[in-house]
Amino acid sequence: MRLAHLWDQSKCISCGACIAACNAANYKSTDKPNPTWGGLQTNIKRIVFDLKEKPYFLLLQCQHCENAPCVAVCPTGASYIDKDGLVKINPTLCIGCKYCMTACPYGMRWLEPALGLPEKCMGEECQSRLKQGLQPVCVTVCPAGARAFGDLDNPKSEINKRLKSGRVIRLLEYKGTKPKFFVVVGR
Amino acid sequence: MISEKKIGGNEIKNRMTAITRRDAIKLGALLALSSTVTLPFAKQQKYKEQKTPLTAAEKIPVMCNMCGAGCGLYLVKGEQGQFYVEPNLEHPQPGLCARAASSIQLWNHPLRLKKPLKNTGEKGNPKFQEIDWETALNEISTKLKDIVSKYGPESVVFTYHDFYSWHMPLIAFTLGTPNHVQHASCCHNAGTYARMLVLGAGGPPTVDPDYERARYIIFVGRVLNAAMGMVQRLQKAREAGVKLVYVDPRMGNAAMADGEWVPIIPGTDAAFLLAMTHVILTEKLYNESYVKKYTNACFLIKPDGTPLTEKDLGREGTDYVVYDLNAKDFVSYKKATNPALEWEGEAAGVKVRTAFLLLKDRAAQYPPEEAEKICGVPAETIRRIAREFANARGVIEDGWWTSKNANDSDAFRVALTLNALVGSIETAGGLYIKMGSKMPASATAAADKVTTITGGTLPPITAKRIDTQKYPAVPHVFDAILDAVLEGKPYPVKALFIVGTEPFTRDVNTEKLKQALKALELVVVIDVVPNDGVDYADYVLPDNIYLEREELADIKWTPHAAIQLSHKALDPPPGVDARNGFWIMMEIVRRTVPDRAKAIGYTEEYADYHKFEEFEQLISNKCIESMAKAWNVSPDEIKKNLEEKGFHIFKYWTPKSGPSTLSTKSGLIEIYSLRALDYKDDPLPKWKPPKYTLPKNPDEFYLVNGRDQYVSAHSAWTWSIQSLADRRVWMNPKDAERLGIKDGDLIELEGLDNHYKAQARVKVTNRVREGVLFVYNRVGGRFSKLITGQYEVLKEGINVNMFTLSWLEPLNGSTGLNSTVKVRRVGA
Amino acid sequence: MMFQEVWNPVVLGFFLWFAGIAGMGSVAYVSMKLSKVEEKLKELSIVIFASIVLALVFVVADLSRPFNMPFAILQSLLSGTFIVKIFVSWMSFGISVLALLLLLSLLILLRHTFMPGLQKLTDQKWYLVLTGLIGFLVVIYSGFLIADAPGIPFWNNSLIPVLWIFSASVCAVAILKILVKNESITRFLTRAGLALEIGELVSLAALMNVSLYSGIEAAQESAAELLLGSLASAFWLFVVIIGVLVPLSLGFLLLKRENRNLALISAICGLIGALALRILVLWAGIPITVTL
Repeated sequence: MRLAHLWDQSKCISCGACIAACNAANYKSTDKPNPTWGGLQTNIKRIVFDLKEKPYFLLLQCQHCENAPCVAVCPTGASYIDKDGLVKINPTLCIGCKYCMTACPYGMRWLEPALGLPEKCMGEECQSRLKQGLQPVCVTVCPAGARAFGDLDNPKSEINKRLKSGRVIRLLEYKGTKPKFFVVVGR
Repeated sequence: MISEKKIGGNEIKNRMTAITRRDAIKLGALLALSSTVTLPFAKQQKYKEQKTPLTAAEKIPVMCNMCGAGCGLYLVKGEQGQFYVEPNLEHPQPGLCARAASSIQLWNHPLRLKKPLKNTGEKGNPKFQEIDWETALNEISTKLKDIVSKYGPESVVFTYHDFYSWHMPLIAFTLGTPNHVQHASCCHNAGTYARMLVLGAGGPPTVDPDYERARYIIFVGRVLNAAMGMVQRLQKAREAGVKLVYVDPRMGNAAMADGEWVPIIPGTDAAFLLAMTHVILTEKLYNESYVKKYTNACFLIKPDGTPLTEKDLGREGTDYVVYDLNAKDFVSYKKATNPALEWEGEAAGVKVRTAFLLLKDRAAQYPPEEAEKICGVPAETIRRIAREFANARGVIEDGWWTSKNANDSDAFRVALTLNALVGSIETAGGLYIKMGSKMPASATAAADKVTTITGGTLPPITAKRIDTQKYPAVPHVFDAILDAVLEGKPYPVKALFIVGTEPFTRDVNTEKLKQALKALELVVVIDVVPNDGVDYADYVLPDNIYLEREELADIKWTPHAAIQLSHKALDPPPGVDARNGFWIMMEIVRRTVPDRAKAIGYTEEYADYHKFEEFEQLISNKCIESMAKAWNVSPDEIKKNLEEKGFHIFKYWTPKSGPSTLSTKSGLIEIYSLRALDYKDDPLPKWKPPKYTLPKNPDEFYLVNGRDQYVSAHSAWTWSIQSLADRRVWMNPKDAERLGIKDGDLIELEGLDNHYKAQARVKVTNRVREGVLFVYNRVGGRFSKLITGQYEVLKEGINVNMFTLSWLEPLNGSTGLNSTVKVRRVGA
Repeated sequence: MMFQEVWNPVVLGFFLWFAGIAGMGSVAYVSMKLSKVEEKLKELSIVIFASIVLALVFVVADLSRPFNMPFAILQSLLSGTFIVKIFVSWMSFGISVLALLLLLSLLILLRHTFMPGLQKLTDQKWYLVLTGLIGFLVVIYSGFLIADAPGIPFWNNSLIPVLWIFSASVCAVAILKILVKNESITRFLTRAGLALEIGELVSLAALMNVSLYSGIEAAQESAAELLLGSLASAFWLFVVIIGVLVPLSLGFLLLKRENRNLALISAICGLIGALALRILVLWAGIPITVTL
């Protein structure tokens, strides 16, 4: 099983629902600032490229890489790839060395101040939602149909359908991380 | 270094041949070893593709009120007891956006108003003292009694936004004042005026694009900011390849997705749209049969501008006449079989021409080359978009927040006309005219009496609303209230209730607002968080948020006739003694005019805050009974749906070949507006320049006041929104280079008309056209003394409304929230 | 937020510096023992042990979950993951060799101070070779740790570990120069030090040049900040001039004629430069800007 995210940049209206919903569901709507990224405690970051000829933006989150550098560098195995293909954190094994944070080429981990854990997608609430057969919160709240999530190994999954019907790229492929976050850039 | 992953046998071979950076040490055995070692902590998680919903008890249907859209949500509870929201996908208008997702942050906001406050200092320099509810309500009603006895109840004004907007007539009329003045002149009056003139329709929700089936949508100054149900419905159209065009001085968030951004000079939308009209008319791209059947384009217009009637021809009846090509005679428009679209000739001793020809002449004043000089959009682009729009039988969005340049109503009149020309009114993929839910009003003030939903009756209110005396076409013009406060005309205004709205980030002419607030004898703010108005209040009363009260409401942004019930989901957090604004205002009214309150059924027993729920229930039942009767449905069925699903749909809108009889004078789509003639306004639209001084020098700019899906008076307070929204001033890179300004620099802006000065940081971006600056409305430039801690960021940036003066359109009072400024670099 | 703020540059700069001193210091100790040079070995063993202890103090100081560390490492060891990770993650490798070096250098220290009987163990050839090897691996690890963090392009190059070896060796030589007075050793140290400083200078120049011209954008920005930007004054003064050029020039002078005072200045400058190099390289790290 290889669970993966899809984000459709051609449909996303940048309403911020996913960003705020991740904070509400996974981080109890805390208003404590995010010490690493500044701003909100959430697993999704929005970057706007204002100076492109046609400005665009990216929504970034943990790419759940198949060749995850954060998993490789973790000294104790606290960062690991689970059976479902998601990169997860086992807090009991985490010593807070933050190597996973400097290892992630996407910069998608942030240091949660209360427990010192290098947080990232998927938060605990989303993981519990998956167990109940629900979608992660970011996918559920998106009003524009710009997100999908599912098993790449299941030919009938929603994500496989979307991958076939759009022009899809991945980010920083040259880093060899084999990310499982697919960005649809057009039809 | 080898990366750790679970791999099977075949993959080991592939890994050996693929030399990656990490293959420093090839230890085949260790690959196998590493895969076995993960087993101890591989949690056995099964992911099921099919969705098993949470049990009904765990999902509470609510109507989001973080902005005015009222999208359908569920409040759900997570594994750790945390609350968060999901969209209610069965609701006809589901959410959601970042504002909804930030609801809990508003609910437990550290700066949330907790107790009633009395200002023992000055307005503008307040000193707040906490008092208890009884004291607050009694002091306020004592003062109010005094004011009412001296100046009459009409000297009391309620200003509000979306919260309690349905309840306002009941509250105001029971007190005896006609002056319940909403935010509309700073929001939608321009579009509403246009809808009234052309379609006989009302406010923004009454007309909207049929997003699901749209083929081509032009958004003029709109950015899919709200409602999210529109974005949900747009999904279908996007699958089918709808083209989206955004005509705006600034590239909104949605325009960064698939779509075309047409950068336009502020205040010139009407010229752009009239040029489109010219292209469509001259190239015959309009839908002739539709125009003949559903619009008054065939009406014959006399030199005085009025339409020819049967009476004018000395015949029986008063119908408007057209020239019927079959009968070769003038025939009533209701009976003509083949009316002429382009005809001129003699009738009743005067020269008449069809309205269509007059429209053509008007549009001919705006050929694309001329329009280009006004609006800055290349003529070729205008032509191309006009042709694409007509060929696709597209739709132009009819406008919601349209108060930009105090000349906007003309633009939306043209927009509606263009929709009519291509046959996009009440048709698939065009504009729908919403089916009303027949929800009764909370109170009605007729000439002979006042009646209320509770079944009460009161003597009629003789004083006339202040705003419509100055702006008769569309009500809710707050600027007229400020004039009354300062001038005492048409009669004095001495008390103001500011309910869930924020005048400093809503209205124009901040100086006048400050003076008026200071001049008022009593200012009461009822709100959730300390919006800037609190600093100018005498009393501040903490209000509930939408999760803390039950509310029955019309579902606005859907074509269907439907109502929703927002369930009460939470109590205010511990330490926050916030109460239902409806109760607050009814209590004040009761203590001020107890006899009138009694007459409508609101008695002393309801002073008990918990007993008040019965009063609300009574009203809710009356509404449901009324609608059940009107729709011939059982009230129990309605209540069941409201309870379980959170909504009830009475009737579905379906696309037709055109509208049925409209509420215009002719019953048709009036591309030549007869109502305008009544108001002595031009029956055809034209472009007028904005009222602010135009920028001329290289350091002068338009300052555009705008939004994206973050902005509302309350959501701006949440940390989520402050992290998403931008408090900087956006500037085009060419302008920045010319003025030697770099990204992040500090600049000073000075209003060209009012010389107000403020400083802000710059964001250099291609998302704004040259000569234009852009700032988000409501998210920065706050000043209240109650803003502390990390939320001091709300003080950063500018309050863009402060650069405006009282620029209002005549007749409808639509304000100009854009302005023009001079810019000076202050530092890095 | 331009520079990475995950790892505190000062705290971990000190860590890397002390680790380098402990590591190459051990190599120096072993070389001297094997060459039968017995001068100032006690002082050297104190320096080595103190450095490894301080290194561990500084590295633990940067942890965000220090109280969970003993438990986490223990559990990871028991499940076997930690052993596997030694071959996969430079961090695990580093924890292991640092722990080993702590033990090895403690025994050496005790042998020279309170428990001379330990020389039966620590004077053995295998023990010395092991200590030297572990010490060298500590310095190797301290370089590769930084280089193999794929999130910071400026660090992702083959020069960092090489530069670290040169610079740590310069530190070891500097310490020996401070401690040792023997003439022939001093002369050897001067020549060795000079060679190492030239090696360091070339590696440093290569690191800066290649990052500036062939590195990806984030690496170019880092190099630009060090050479011309906000970190330039610190870089040129502490790393280049004090850290390399001064010892280099003094080294040439000392070649002609030894001078105790100049040797001391050269040594101290070399040590300062090594510390500054590590702090500034950590400071200057800029994360990748993800784009389409």
